[in-house]
Amino acid sequence: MRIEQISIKTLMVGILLVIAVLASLLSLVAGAYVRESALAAQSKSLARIIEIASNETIHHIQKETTSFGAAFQSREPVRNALSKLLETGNPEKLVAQLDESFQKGFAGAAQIDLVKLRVYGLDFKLLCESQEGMAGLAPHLPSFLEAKAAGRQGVERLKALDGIWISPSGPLYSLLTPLGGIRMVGYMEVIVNPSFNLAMIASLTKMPLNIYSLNDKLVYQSTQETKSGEGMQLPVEYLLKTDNGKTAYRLVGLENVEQFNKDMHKTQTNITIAFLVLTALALILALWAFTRFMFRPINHMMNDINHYATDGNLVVTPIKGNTKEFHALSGAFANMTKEIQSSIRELERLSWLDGLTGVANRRSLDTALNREWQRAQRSKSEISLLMIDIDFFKLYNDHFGHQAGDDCLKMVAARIAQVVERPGDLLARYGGEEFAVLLPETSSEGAASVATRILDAVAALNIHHPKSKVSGFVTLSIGLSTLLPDDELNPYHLVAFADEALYQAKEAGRNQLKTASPADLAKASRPPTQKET
Amino acid sequence: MRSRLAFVLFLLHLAFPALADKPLAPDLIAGTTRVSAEQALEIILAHPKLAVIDSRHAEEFAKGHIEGAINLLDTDTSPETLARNVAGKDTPMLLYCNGERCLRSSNAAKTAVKAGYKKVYWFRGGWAEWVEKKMPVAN
Repeated sequence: MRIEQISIKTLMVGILLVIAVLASLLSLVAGAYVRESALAAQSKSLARIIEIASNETIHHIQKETTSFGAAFQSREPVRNALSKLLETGNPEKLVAQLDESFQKGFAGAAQIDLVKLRVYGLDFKLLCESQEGMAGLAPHLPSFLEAKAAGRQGVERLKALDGIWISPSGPLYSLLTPLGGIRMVGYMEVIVNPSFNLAMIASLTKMPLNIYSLNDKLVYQSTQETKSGEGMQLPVEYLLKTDNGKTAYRLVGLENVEQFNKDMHKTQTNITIAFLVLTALALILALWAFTRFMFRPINHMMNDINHYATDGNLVVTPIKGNTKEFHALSGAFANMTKEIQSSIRELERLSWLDGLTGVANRRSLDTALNREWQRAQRSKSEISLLMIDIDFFKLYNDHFGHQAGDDCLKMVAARIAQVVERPGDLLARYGGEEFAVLLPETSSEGAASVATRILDAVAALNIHHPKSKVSGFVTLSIGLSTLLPDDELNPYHLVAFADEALYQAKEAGRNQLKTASPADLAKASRPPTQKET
Repeated sequence: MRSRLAFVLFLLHLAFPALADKPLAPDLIAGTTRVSAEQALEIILAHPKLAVIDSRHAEEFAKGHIEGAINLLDTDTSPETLARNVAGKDTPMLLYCNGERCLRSSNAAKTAVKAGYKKVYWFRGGWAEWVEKKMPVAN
């Protein structure tokens, strides 16, 4: 399709539809993006919750382990066994006490899964360890505790140290606490299996939770059944790390996102619908605005132009309530039209006038003659015509030149115009030095009176004309005809008879008036012939 | 009806002082030296005759306390009880309770200063700070 065949309206609708389609696609993409971000944010905050629960759990382990250590040390047999070890270097009794914790257990021990108990000297050299508990642990302080303990001065050395570390058999938790209280004589390390306490995370977070140890070994699985289908569980992962950044546990919470998905879907649908509705409204508004402020003024102006093209009626109808541009455009259009109208009027006016003398021209006379003839026919009144010729004007021209000839014509025309002053009377230049005066509703006598006054008036101008054979001044010859129009006559008869009368006036010696004789009028029935002059 | 509800609320207010904005212990007490957990431990180690006074309830004391501390509730603290536990007016003493939200040790410290004890150390952070910093615990 060629561009000339597409209207701006169609183009606008097309562009707006494309925008609507793009906006809809955008809303879908945006919806999906929002859903993803919301899920990511949800996942992030859930991971944060698991992290907090994990920290709380570790804190709990630390509290319980500390309390176990304090309780263990405060027991009399333990104190005695410790003194024995320090005095004699024999660890037997202390080892027995350490083992008793595993065999009998006591206050606080139920809260933790004791793995090993160890006793070190102030130099962190292993003095003894429980025989009970986990086997296969390297017989020295875990390296991270050693690193933390190294270089501590003063009371700082009395502060307990703790943390998760990776043993060959899995992640373990160690607490290093001074032995012998404030006036310490060594250190005791309480090693527990943190997996025992990790269920607390699930109970704190209140969500299904799977905890994996090293090599993805499942160490805890919440008993809660998951009823929802595929894709309704959002796995939220949190990595519980050791002091030196190694992953000790991988905690995978399963958050039921069925409701979330439903809500999200609903939101997405709502957003899309809202987008489409808004786009449609915008489309309608835009179309209305285009129609109201653009197409309508354009059509309005086009109608004005078409009107002129069909019936030549150049009229600008004002358009109200327009935008700035169309207001300016219609203003300019109106101004232009006004200018053209006045130019046309001026041209029209000029087309009815004789350029030299300023009186009506031949065309004007013909039109007026036809019009007045018809009017006279209707009103059954007489109509008269004077044909006026300047005597020996060719000689005047030859003698004084054309410039002077033109001036003479102007003066004569102006003088005659002064005499022919009745409204409805028309003085016209008939051609060359001939003038015609149309006198509607005028009898032969009235016309003769006018003609006589014209003769006198021009003679009174006293325009010097040495070559005239009738007088030393410019004079006129006038032929008059008067008719009562009827069906057999036409305007040409009036002209022809006036011409005939003028011819007779010239024949009779010029500078006079001749009225068409009844003989001439009798010839009215035959068609008029153009007379050569 | 409304007045009865207000009365119940008033009772609740009395029953749960924790619900109200509990006042903080003063920043400083004239005549005492305010110490941190580390400073407290250093003082304990440096002064064998130091009297460590735990102004908390006996149950709290039983769960864990600073080694060597004497449990003397602030309401029981008087020139007489102090004289029984502290050798002389020049003997240094360290007072603590639960922490900055607990006014027991500050009250006890004021009593001690009034009674004429010259070396009063006040461990404002108390048990909360002690445990937070993983200091050795006795029970």
